[in-house]
Amino acid sequence: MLTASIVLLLIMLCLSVGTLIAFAWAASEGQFRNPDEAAYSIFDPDEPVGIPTDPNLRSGDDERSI
Amino acid sequence: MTNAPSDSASRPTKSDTEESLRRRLEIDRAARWPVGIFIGSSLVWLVLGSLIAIAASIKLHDPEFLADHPWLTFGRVRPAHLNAVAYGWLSTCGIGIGLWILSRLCRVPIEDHRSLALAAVLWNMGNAVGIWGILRGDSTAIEWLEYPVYAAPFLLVSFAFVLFTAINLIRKRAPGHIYISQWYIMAAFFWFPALYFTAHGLLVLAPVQAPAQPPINWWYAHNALGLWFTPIGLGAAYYLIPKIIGKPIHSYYLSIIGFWTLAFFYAWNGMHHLIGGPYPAWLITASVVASVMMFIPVITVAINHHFTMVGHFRDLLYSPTLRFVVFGAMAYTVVSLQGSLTAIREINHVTHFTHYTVAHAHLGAYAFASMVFFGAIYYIMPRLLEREWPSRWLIRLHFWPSAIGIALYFVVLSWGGILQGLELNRGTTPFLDIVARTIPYLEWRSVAGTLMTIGHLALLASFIWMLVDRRQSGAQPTLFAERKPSTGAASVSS
Amino acid sequence: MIDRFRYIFIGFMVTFLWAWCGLVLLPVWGLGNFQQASDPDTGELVPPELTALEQRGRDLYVSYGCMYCHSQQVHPARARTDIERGWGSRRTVARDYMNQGIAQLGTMRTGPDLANIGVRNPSDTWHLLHLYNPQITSEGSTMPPFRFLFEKRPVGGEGPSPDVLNLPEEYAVEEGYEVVPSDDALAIVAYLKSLKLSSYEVPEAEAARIDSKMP
Repeated sequence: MLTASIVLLLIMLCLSVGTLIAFAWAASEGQFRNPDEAAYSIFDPDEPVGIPTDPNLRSGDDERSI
Repeated sequence: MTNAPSDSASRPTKSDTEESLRRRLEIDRAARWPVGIFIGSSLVWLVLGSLIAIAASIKLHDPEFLADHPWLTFGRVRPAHLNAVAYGWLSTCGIGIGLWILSRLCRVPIEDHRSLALAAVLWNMGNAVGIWGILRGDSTAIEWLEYPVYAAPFLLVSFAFVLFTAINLIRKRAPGHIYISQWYIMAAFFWFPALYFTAHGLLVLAPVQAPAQPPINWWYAHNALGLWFTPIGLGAAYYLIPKIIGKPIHSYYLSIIGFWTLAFFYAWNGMHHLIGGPYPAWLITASVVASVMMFIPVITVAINHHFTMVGHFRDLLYSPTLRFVVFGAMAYTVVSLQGSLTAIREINHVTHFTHYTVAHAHLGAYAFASMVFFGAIYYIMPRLLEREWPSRWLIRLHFWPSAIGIALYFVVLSWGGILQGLELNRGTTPFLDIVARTIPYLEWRSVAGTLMTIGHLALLASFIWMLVDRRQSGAQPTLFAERKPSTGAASVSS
Repeated sequence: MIDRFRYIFIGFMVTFLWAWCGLVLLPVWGLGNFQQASDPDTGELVPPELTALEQRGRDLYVSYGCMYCHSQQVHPARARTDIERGWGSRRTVARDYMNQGIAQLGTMRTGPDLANIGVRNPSDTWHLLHLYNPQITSEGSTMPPFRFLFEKRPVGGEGPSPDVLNLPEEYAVEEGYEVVPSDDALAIVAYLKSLKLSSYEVPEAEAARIDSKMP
C-alpha cells in the first residue's frame, strides 16, 4: 500500500503540473478571451437570439395553465 | 454561422435561413429511425421497470406478495428493476438524446442511420436478455452490474456503433466552437464503455480477489451516475434551456469550469459507498473529499441555469420541455448537495445502510436524470416525426403524477430512512422493532411509485398516439396553454 | 473559442484515468493478492476456503440476491453498534473476504448483518425454518419466504424422513404430508454457517480490535 500511495502521489504531482501547463497553453491560445461568444453557437442564423424556438411562447399573454 | 454579439448589426440572409432550415430537416430526418427507436424502446423499459418497481416495493412491506415464484423473489425483482430503469430506460434514452443533440450541434446528419437503428435493436436485445437472466437466477449480484455475462456482448457491440457514430459526427462537424453540450455528451460516450468494460472485465469475466471487488464495483456504479447519466442530462439541459427561451447560457465560462471540475472530482467519489467498511481510511477519505468538492461544479451549474432562466420563469407555464428540464436541473442541484453532505462521515453514520440512500438514488436518477430526459423527449420527438404531441392533457397527466410522486417518494423514504438509521445506532433497539417502524414509510413509497408509474403510462400513451395518428402534421406545438399565434412564427420542425 | 476536440478528449480521459488509478488499479494491486494467515492459537490457515457445498450455497445467495437486504461487514464500535448487537467481535478487515469468491458486502440493512451469522446462529434447524418462512423464527420480518426451496411431499411408508422440517402448528402442512429441504436449501444453510468473517485471528485483527473499542 505504501508504494502504491507514493506512485499515486507522483502521478498527482505530474497531473497538477500538466494541468497548469494546459491552462497556460489555453490562455495563450486565446481560449479565455470572449467566452460568451460560444454561448451563441446553439442558434442557427434563422434563430435570432431573443426569440424562443417554441413559437407562440410570449410573455405578456395571460392565459396560464398547470 | 453564430449570432455573436458583435454580429447584431447584420441580419441573416434569406439563403442562410433556408440553408439552416434545410439542414435541420435533413438532420432530424436522418435521426428519425435510430433516435426514434432508442427513445421509443426506452419508454417501454420505463413502464416495465416501473411495474417491476411497484412489485418490489410492495414486497418490502408485504413479503408474501408474489412470494411463491423463485423468479419473482425480492432479491431478483429488485435488481431487475434497477437494471431495467438504468440500462433499459435511462441509458437507452440517453443514447438517443445524446446522438440527436450531437447531430444538431455538429450540424451534420447521422450518416449510417440504418446500422445505428440496428444497433438500437441490439441494445434492446441485450437488456431483454439481461433482465431475463437476472430473474432466472444468473444475476452477478454486483450492484449496477447484475446482467449476466451473456448480455454484455449485445451491449458492447451496440455501443461500439453508438460511439462510432458520435466520433463521426464530431469529426465531420461544422467549423466553429464546440459547445459545452457536445463536450458533455462526447465525454459520456467515451466514459461509459471505459467504465463498463473495466468493471465487467475485473468483476465478471475474470474476477479479481474478493476484497478488491467492492472498490471497483462502487467506482463503476457511482460513475455510471456521475460520468454517464449526469453529463448527458447536463448536456441536454445546457442545450434545451437556452434554446427554448431563446437566450444564451448566462456564463459560458462558468460552464467550462463546471465541466472540468466534474470530470476531475466525480470519478473519485466511489468509495463513499463503503464508508466504515474494511478499507484503508485514506482511500475512503479521498472519496469523501472528492464528494464534498462536487459543490464546485454543482454550484456553477446552478448559478448558470438560474441566471439564464431569470426573467423567463413564466415560460414554465407553457413549455412542457422547459418544465421537465428545469425541474430536473433544480433537482440536480439538490441531489448533488445532498450527496456531498451525505458523504461526510458524521452524517453517513446515520444514513448508511438505510432507505435514505434509496431515496437519494431516486432523487438523482429520477428527479434529475429522468425528468430532464422527459423534457428532451417532448422536444425531440415532434422534430423527428414532424408531428405534434396529440394531447396536452396527457402531458399534464405525465408531469403532475411524476413530479408529485417523486417528491412524495423522496420525503417519505428519506424521513423513514433517517429514523431507521437513528434506531440502528441505538444498540439496544431490537432489530425487528426497527423493521416494524419502517413499514408505514415503505407503504407510502409504494403509493409514490404508483403515482410515478401513472405518469409513465401517460407518456407511453402519448408517444404511441403521436406515432399512430398522422393527422397532427404541421400543427402548432403542444403547449400547456393556448397562445395567440404571433406573426412570423416558425413551424415546429425548425 | 474552443474548436479542437482532441484537447478536450485528452483532458477528460486523463481525469478519468487518474481516478481509475486510485479506485481500480490501487485496489487490484493492494487488495487483490491476500494470502491466508496462520491462526496463532490453532495453527490453521485462516480465513478458511469454502467447501464445495458452501460455494454452491454462496452461488445461491448471489442468485437470490440476499445481499440487497443483508450486509456482510462489521463496523468499528466507535462508528456503529454492530459489535454491541453481537454482529461480530471486531470490525471486518479486507483479508477476511479473501476466500469469498464474490464479495457480498451489501449496502442495505433491511435485514441484519450476516458477516458472522455462522457464529451467532449455528443451528441448522433455525436457518431452515427461517428460510422456509421467516415469520416462524422472526415475526414481523419482511424477508420473503423461500418455500420454493423446500419440497412438500407425501409421507413415505416408513414414516417421516430424517431431515423433515418440524414446522410449528400455525405453519404445518396437512396430515400425511411433510416438508423436506432441497439440496439448494441445505447448501444455503451450509454457506450461512460458514460466515464467520471476523472471528479469525489475522495479523491485522489486533489493530482492528483497537479500532473497535468504544471511545
